[in-house]
Amino acid sequence: MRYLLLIISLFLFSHHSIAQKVGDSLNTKLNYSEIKQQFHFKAGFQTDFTLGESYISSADSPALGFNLQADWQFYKSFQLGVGMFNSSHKNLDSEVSGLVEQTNLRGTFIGIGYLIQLNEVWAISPHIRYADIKLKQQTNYQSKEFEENADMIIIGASISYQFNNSLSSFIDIESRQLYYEIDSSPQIQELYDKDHFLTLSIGLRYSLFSKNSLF
Amino acid sequence: MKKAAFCFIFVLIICTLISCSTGNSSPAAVYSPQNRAYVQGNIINTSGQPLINKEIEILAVQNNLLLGTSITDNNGAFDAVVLETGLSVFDPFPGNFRSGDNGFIVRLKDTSYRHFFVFAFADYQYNQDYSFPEVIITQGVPVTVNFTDQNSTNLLENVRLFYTNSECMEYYRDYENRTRPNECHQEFGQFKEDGINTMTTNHDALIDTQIRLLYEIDGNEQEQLFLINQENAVFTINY
Repeated sequence: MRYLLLIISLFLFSHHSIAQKVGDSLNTKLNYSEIKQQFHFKAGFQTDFTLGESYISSADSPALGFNLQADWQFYKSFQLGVGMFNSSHKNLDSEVSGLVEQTNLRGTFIGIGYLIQLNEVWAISPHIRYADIKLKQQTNYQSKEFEENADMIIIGASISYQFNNSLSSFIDIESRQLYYEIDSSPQIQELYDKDHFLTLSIGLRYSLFSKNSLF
Repeated sequence: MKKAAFCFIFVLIICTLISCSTGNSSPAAVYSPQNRAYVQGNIINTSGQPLINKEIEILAVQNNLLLGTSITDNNGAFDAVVLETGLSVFDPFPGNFRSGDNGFIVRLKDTSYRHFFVFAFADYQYNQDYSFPEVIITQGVPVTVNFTDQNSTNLLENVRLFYTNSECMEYYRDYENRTRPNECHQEFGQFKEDGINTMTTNHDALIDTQIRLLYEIDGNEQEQLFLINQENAVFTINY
């Protein structure tokens, strides 16, 4: 519920307070040479394809989830991005996960990207991110839950198609390496070391533009 | 433009808050996060045969919390990735010398087995591999004795039944068997209630042991022994 409220509030807030100011000069046609800063707010659905034979990789694949993010193109084509994602990995292999049958993976990330404008409507943005991960573990014993931590490095690219001055669709393709902060016995250390996902995201992007340079 | 920057910072703050939140909506964690142990063992029956395809439960000594499950293979072997829970605090003046022990309880999910094994460790450490010694598990069965009065003239009285209880807690501390005599296969005795011509043991009797039945008919004391096994646990006394 809180994620839904976040999406709605972000959308309304940004639309009413900012779009008016920059809208006049951009409603007709974008002139990218004049744009010094851009803000993009993105919301989408994602699927994690698990690779390997580690802990979460033993779950059903693909796992479904959603993501929210904001990118700030602050200098030339460089973007600073923050956001969060959530995906649920079900039916873990009990031989690997023990009593844990489901993991909810929630990440908050910060990263940097580089926007390459291919033409008036297509753009690609390779990026690298670091995510702080909370693993909400649900066991099959009286549905008892507990939370564990992990870190994630994300390398990928976002491809966007611009419908109009404000609205775009995007597809993100990312390789995600998850590093568990779980101490395990030597016998099972490999299972609780790291995991690897191929993640595809699809969604909508709302953009704001400014002719004012930060620097 | 300042407002757009504010919006970006707003998202950053929201993400930070989400990152720092600890999931208050979930129940209090009973498992110790960030820890996993690995256990393995082997179970055979009293005939020396492996216990095949039996579900195993592994619990914590300190609070009986289920940590993991497994199934025995064709050799009676089992292994499991197990969660961990909070540890007991060492008691320097224990009333019970086992207080402060941490470790695992291994038992069968099949409740007809009332024999379980405790593998406790005085200096328990998280995230270790544990290889338990091979154990022999015993099984019990409720025993019923029926009394049939054939001519309604004999007086049956003072009926007593003695048997070996199948319940057993085999306690290993640092792999040394420290089971107390009163914790495993105790001898039990019980009287038959007057007016009822049947009696069933209050506890399961240990299979492959004998039950001893003492009774008096017209003042003459008699004794009978019966061997208990899975197929033979109901006996009849004609008098």
